[in-house]
This record gives sequence, structure tokens and C-alpha cells, in this order.
Amino acid sequence: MSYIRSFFLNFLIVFFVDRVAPGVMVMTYEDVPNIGADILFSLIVGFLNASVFFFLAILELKITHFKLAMTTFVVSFGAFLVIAMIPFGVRVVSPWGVVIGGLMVWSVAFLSNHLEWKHYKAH
Amino acid sequence: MVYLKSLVMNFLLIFFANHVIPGTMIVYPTKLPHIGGDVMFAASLAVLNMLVYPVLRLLQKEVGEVKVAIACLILNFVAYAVIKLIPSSGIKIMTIQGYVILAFVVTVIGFLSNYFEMKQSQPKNPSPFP
Repeated sequence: MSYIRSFFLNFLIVFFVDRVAPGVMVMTYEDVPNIGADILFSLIVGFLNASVFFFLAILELKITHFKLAMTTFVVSFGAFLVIAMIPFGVRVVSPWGVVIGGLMVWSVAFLSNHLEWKHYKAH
Repeated sequence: MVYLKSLVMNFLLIFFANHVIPGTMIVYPTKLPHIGGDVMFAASLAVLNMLVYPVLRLLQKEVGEVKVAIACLILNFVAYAVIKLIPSSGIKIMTIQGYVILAFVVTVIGFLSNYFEMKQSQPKNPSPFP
């Protein structure tokens, strides 16, 4: 899976989770129809999650499934914990927002990094 | 696995387009555990879009990019026309521009995923000898 595709997948899953997860509320920009303030949050978290494999590779760390899982876990749950404390276009209104949102984003982020790793091992 | 990945990507892109493109309104948005019309419509259209190339392959021997593009165009413009006619579908199309832009964007998404699938299923180095 190429980096761009992985980035898009991670961005889209964060956008999807912001809209459907219980306990997560999207705030809106007043003058832009249909575009919620969650786009920026989705872009940032999507970028961070898509870059985990490359970040570990740049640091010349030995990449393992455990390291990928832990880093994506910290980014995914960390992002939802941050917006629970500081609303950033998206607000977490109940703990379920962090649990379900973090879990869904984490699983896709881990999968995309795993596929990225597999892709680079094969070439 | 490639098919499943394309299907998930297609679903997420259609969901994103439905929510973001102006001229549309989500009437019954999904908030888990409630599944709204937006998710059901995006999932159904993603499945239909991902069936375009396999169905064309079943019906015809030669399937080119133009045939896939036309099939995707018809499918998506008809799907959004149906949505416009059925008010209880969960997605409301407010303007004609919204309808055209949304159907066109989803057509491009559908065509690209079918195109990649087509490229995947073709042999990489075809033999020059019969």
C-alpha cells in the first residue's frame, strides 16, 4: 500500500469515526456549507497514523508488530483524549467517544501500517 | 484482499462525498449503535460500484476503460436520481448542482477503483507468442 493511499485511508477513517461514533460531536464552520471543523483534525490524525511506519524506519528502529501497534495506539487514543480536553473542531462528549473512536481509528491505522511494512518487505 | 480494500476505500470515499459536497443534506445521520441512511446508502453504492468490472467481465470478453466509465456513470447518476426521488432514504439532495457534482465525484471514485482492479487482474508481462 503506497503512502498516499495509506494517508487517505487514515484520513477517511478519522472523518468517518468523527461522524458516526457515539459521544463525538462535530462543530461546524458557519460560512462553509457541509464542511465541518473535523476536516483538519482528520487530516492531522490521518497524517500521523500514516507516518508511523516511516517514522520508525527513519529512526532506524527494528520494526515489529508490537512497536507498530503501540505507536498507532498512542496516536489514535491520544488524539481522542486531547480533543476530550481541548475541543479542536471535534468534541468528545462522553467516554464512549474516546473508547469507540480510538479503537476504530487504531485498528485501521495498525492495518495500514502493517500493509505498508509488508509492501516494503516485499520490494 | 485487494477487492476488500477497494470496497472499504470506496465506501469511505462515498460517505465522505455525501457529507461534504454542498447541495446535499443528511437527514438521518448515523450515530452508533443507530445506523442511518447515510452509511447504508454509501455501503450499497460501494458494493454496486465494485461489481461493475466483474459483471462486465461476465457479460463480455473485452472490457475497456470506456465501457467501465460509462457503466459507472449510468450507475451513479441513476442511484442519486433514485435518492432524489425517495425522500425517506436518509440523504436529501437539495439542488441540481449538488446532484450533478455528487454523482460525478462518485463516478470518478467508482471508475478509479474499477480501473485499479482491472489493472490488477490483467497479466503484467503478456507473452508476445500466442
